[in-house]
Amino acid sequence: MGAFGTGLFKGMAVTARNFIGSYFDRERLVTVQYPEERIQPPENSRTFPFLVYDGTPENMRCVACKICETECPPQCIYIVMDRDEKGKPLQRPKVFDIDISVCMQCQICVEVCPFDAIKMDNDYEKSQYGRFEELVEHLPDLLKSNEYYHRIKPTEAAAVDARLKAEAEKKAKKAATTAKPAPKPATTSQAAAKPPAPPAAQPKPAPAASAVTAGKIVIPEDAPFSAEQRAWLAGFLSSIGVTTSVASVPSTAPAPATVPAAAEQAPVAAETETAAATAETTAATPSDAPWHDPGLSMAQRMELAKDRPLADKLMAAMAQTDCHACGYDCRGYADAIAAGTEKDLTLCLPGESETAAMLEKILKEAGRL
Amino acid sequence: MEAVYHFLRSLRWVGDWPQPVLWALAFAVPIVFVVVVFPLIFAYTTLVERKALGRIQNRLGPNRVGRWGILQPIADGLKLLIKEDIVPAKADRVVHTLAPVIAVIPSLMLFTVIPVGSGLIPVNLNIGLLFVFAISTGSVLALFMGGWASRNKFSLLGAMRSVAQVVSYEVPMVLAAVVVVMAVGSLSTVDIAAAQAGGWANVTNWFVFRPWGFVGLVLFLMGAMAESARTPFDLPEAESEIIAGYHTEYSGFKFALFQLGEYLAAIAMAGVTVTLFLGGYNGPGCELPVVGKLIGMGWFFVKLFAMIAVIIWIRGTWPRIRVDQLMAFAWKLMLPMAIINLIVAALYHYIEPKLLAWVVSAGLLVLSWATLSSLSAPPHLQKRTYRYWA
Ligand code: SF4
Ligand code: SF4
Repeated sequence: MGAFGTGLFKGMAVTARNFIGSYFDRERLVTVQYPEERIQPPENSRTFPFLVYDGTPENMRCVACKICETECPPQCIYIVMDRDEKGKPLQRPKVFDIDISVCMQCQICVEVCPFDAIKMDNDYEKSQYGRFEELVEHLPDLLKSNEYYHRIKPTEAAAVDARLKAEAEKKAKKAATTAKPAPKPATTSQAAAKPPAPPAAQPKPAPAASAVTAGKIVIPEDAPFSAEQRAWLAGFLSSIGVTTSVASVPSTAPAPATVPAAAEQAPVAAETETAAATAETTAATPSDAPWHDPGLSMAQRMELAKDRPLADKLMAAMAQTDCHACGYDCRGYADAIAAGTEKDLTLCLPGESETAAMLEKILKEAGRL
Repeated sequence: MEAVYHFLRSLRWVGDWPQPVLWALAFAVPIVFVVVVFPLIFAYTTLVERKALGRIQNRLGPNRVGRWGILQPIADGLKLLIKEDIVPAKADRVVHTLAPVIAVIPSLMLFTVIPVGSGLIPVNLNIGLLFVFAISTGSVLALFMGGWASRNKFSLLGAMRSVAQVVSYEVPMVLAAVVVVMAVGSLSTVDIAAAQAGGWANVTNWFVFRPWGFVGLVLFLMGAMAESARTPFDLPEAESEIIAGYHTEYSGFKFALFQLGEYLAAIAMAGVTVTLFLGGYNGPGCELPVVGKLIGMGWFFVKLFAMIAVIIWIRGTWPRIRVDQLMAFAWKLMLPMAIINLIVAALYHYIEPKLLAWVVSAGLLVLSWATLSSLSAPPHLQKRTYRYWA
C-alpha cells in the first residue's frame, strides 16, 4: 500500500504523459478530424438505398416492378413506371422517389428486389436545410454506378456481379435450347429448379367458402382484418413455412351462387381489384384466385389452379406481385395471353425464367403452341 | 502607482505637465493594466485550459477558429454577448442581475495588491494580505446571491455548497498564509515579496524552500482552489450532480461574467501564491539596475503561468471529491496541518544554525503528516463474503 495521497501523483504522472505524448505520438490522437479526414465506413454499414446502373444512368437495373414500393415497411418509396407514347411500359421508372426522412434503413427493399437494382449506400453526409422536399431523393440522386457500388462494398458487389453473370449465361443457354423445337427441356429444368413442394395445400373447394380447413392455422372469417391484411397474412404464413390455410376473405357479398361474377365483388379481394375490369372476360371471379400470393411456390400455385380454365392456369404461373413490369397486372397479363393479344411470354420479370417456362408448358398442353 | 508617477516625472516632455494630470495618469495606468491585461490573460487561459485538457485526454482541443483555435476566446465572447439574457419568471430580478457583477469586482480588486515587479503594484497597502482575504471571501456573496435569486433548487444547492466550502477552506488557507506573515513581520505584499530577495541567484530565499513554506504552499494552493471552486473542489457547480450549480439559470453575458469572475479569482489566487511562497517577482537577474524591473516582471508572469498550468493539470487529473470528503479534508487534515505548520515555523525561527532548523522542521512536518493521514485514512474494510453464494 502506498502512502496516503500517492495515488494523486500517480494520476498526475499519467496525465502528464498523455499531455506530452500527444505532441510526439500521432497515434495517441485517435479522434478523426472530420471535415479534413474521413474514414471509409465499414463495408457492411448502411445508410439509405440507392439504385445501381451499369455503364450509363439510362442503363439502370430497376424495371419499376414496384416490389420494393409494396414491401417497404414505412412506405417511403414512390415509383411511377415510364411508358412510351403508345402507353407501352418501358420497364424502367419515370419517377423513383425515396423519402429518406421516413426510410428506416431496414434494407428490406434490397432483399426483395429480384433484379439487384437497389442497394444500400453508406454515404452519411445527407444533412439538408429543410425537412420536407429536401429530404426526398429523386431518381437522379438515387442513381449510382456499379463502379461506385464496387467501391463502397467490394465483396457484396462482386458476389452480385457473379450472380448476374451466371443468370445471364443460363438465360442465353436456355434461349439457345428453346429456340430449337424441343419441348422437353423446359419442363425438366423447371422440375429440377424447384423441388416439388409438399402437396399439402389443397385447392379451395368453393369460391367464397368459409373457413378453409386445409392447414394448421385457420384465420376465422370474423377476425378483424381487412382484405389486404388477410392477403398479406396469407403470404406471410406461407413464407414462414406454415401450409396456408387462411379462411378466405369474409363474404360480405352474398353467396357467389346467387350473384354471378361481377364487379361488385371486386373489393372483397383487394389484391385483384385492378383486375376487376378484365375479370368480366374471364371464367373466374376476381376473388377466386387462391394462388394470388407471392409467398406460394410455383408448384403450390399450379396445384391450386390445376382444374381451372386456361386463363387461371396462366395467371397462377405469374409471380403474383402485380408488379406491372409486363404492363398489366398478373390477371391482365394472363387474360391477354389467353385471348391471344399478347404473344410475348417472357414479360413477367419477378417470375423470371420459371414463369416463362411454365407459361410455355401450359400453352403447349392446351395445344395453343 | 508611485513608481508610475516617478517614471512619468522623469520623462522629458511629459514631466513638465501639471501635477494633477500626472497623478491622474499614474492612477489610470495601473487601472488599465488590471482591467485589460488580466481579462486578456483570462481569455487565453480558457483557451490554454481547453487545449491542455484536450491533450491530457489525447484530443486536440479547440482548433476550428483561427490557427490553433487562437480566436476561440473571441468567438466565445461574441457568442455569449449575442445570446438571450434569460431571467427566470419567479427569480429575484435585482439580485439575479447584481450577482454576476459582484462576482467580478472582488476578483479584479485582488489584483490591486499583487506586486508584478519590484515597485510595480497598483496600491501598496500595508495590510495587503488582509485585504486579499477580506476581498476574496466576498466572491462567496456573489455565488450565494446568484444561487438564491435564481429560485432553482440546483442553484440553491450549489450556493449552499459553495458557502460551506469557502467558509471551511478559508480557515486553513489563512493559517497557511500566516507563516509567511510571521517570517516577514509584515502584512504588506510588497514587503513579503521583497523579503524573498537575495540568496543564491535570488532563488534560495523563496519561502517555498523552507519546510514550512512548502507545506504552506500546498495548503494555500488547496485552499485557493477550493475558494475559486476549481476541480477537484468544484462542488458548487458540479455539472454531473446539480447541472451547473449556482449559475444554472444564467445565460449570455451574465454567465460569461460569472466565468470571468471565477477565472480571475483563480488567476489572482495564483498570483498571491506566487507572491507569498514563490518569491514573487524575484528571480535570477532581477537585481540588475535598469532591466531588473522588466526581468522581475517576466519572472512574475512565468511563475504565474506555471501556477495556472499546475491548476489546469490538477483539473485534468483529479476527480471531484465528495461533500463529506471535502469537509473531512478541510477540518481533519488541512486545519491541524496548518496549525502544526505555524508551530514548526516558529521553531524554525529560533533554532540555529538554519541547516539544523531545516532538518528538524522538515522531520516534524513529515511526521505529523504521516500521523494525520494515517488517522484520517479510510477504515480498511474486510473483503465482503456472501454466505449463500453458490
Ligand atoms: S424491386 Fe423492382 S422497382 Fe424496386 S428497385 Fe428492384 S426492380 Fe426497381
Ligand atoms: S431501406 Fe427499408 S425503409 Fe428504406 S426504402 Fe428500403 S424498404 Fe423502405
